[in-house]
Amino acid sequence: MNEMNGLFLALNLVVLLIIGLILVRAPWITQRSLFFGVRVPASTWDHPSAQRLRRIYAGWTAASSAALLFASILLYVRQPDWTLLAAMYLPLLLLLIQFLIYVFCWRSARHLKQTQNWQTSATVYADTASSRSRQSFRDLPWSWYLISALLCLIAALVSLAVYPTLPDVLVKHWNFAMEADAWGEKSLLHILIQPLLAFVMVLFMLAANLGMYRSKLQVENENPALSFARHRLYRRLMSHVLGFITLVMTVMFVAITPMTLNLWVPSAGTLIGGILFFSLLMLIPPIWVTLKAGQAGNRLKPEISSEDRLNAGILPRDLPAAATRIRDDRDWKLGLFYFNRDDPSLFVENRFGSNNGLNYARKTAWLIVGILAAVSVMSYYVTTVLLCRLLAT
Amino acid sequence: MLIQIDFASDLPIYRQLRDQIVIGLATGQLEAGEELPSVRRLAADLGINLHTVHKAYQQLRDEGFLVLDRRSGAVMAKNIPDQPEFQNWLSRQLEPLVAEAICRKMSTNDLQALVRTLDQSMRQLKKDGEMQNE
Repeated sequence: MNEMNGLFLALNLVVLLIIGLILVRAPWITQRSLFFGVRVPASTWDHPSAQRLRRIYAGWTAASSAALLFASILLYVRQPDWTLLAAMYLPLLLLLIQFLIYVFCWRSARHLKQTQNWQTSATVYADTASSRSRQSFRDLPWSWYLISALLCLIAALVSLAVYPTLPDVLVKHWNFAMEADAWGEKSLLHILIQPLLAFVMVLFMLAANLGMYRSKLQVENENPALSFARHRLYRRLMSHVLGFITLVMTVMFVAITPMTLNLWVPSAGTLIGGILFFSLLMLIPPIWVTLKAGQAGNRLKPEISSEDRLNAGILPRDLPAAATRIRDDRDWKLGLFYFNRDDPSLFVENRFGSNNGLNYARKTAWLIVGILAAVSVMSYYVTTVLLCRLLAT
Repeated sequence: MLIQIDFASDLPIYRQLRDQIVIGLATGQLEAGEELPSVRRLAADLGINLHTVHKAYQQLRDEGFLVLDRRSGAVMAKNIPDQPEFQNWLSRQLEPLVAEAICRKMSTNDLQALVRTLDQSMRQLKKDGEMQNE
């Protein structure tokens, strides 16, 4: 266990750094007309109060990230056995602290909107061309998924081909030092489970990509044509990122196939190095695109096609709403949680940062939250109990 | 085409939606035979109730602008049927508006110019679109 602690510390530091970086940058990633979850005119971006609030948020978030980084190093020096627990729980603590800082900023932003009388329009937009039912299927980057599925198929066929030549008893498990510690009789299920799991993962990623195309957009009211063009470009970029991640994950799965067939057993160093390399490879593109393109691609400068510019009618309709609290803000609890009974959408683009969220007025949303919560609480509980037992002995 | 719905407007949402689609057709931004988003998808994009979109689509179907079909969804009609009573209906719609314009001392010329401008800009938009497509 002890020799792994250094690795856990490194992992913890990397995770805290990445989460901290993204959280600190979040107000700048978000589009200009969304100020801590409150819709404001984009021109308020340079307002001194707005700049000050963003700096306060970034300062506190950066300070808490730094404090937690320092705490994990201190813990490693004082109580090295607790490193894995720290690696599991400190990122969660950072998210909790950031949530509290965010809520403070959201309240200030709402107050600013009222006192400064920052009026926004109550107009919503839909693009008839991009929401045609078959459009999202056409926009998917199919090649990534097809190549991944093909790799799974090849792995399965190769496994089947060598199956008769394999010994009757196969090694099924290795310990940390890559010494065999569990054996079992060979079976078709055992050698096919790896490609099968990989294939299920490819299907899951494909569904996630399709889900991204279905999720509700945060359209910038002041220039909807540009906003739709940016969304389109951003979704294409993110689809390729998802496709790339799918391919890397498939390669990881398939690379383990020779191990399950007992044809080749890598050393512990090679295995850990390989996993780290592939994980980093998967992390870099999404982080890079998120920081560069901004939420829904608001930092991108796409070409606006003449079709984008088409509005119905010839008269301007885009007038600021008389009421200061329009329904748009009312539907976003804390600026974070979308709750709109009328809206049939399930997935929505968040108002802060660049994630997707749910419409919590839908029952399906709570089902998804329930499943996710159950899975994460259970895995955290099991790992924590196991670790505490290990620490006690 | 970008459909815009204004929540601050006095007009009911289904009515705004119906008007937007008719204007889209008049200005050539929606073409005959073009597929529209499904009721569910459009409601989700705009964040409005399914029934509101359904009501607008049904009205458009009743007026002959839209063909609704279980399999192919909502498609703009290939040819708009003649409605003999349309002119009659239109003058009834315009009556209170013209009356108000007179009360507010708008001249006959200004009123005619207003209608002409609207009419010409819509036709011009349609012509521009057709030129671009060629």
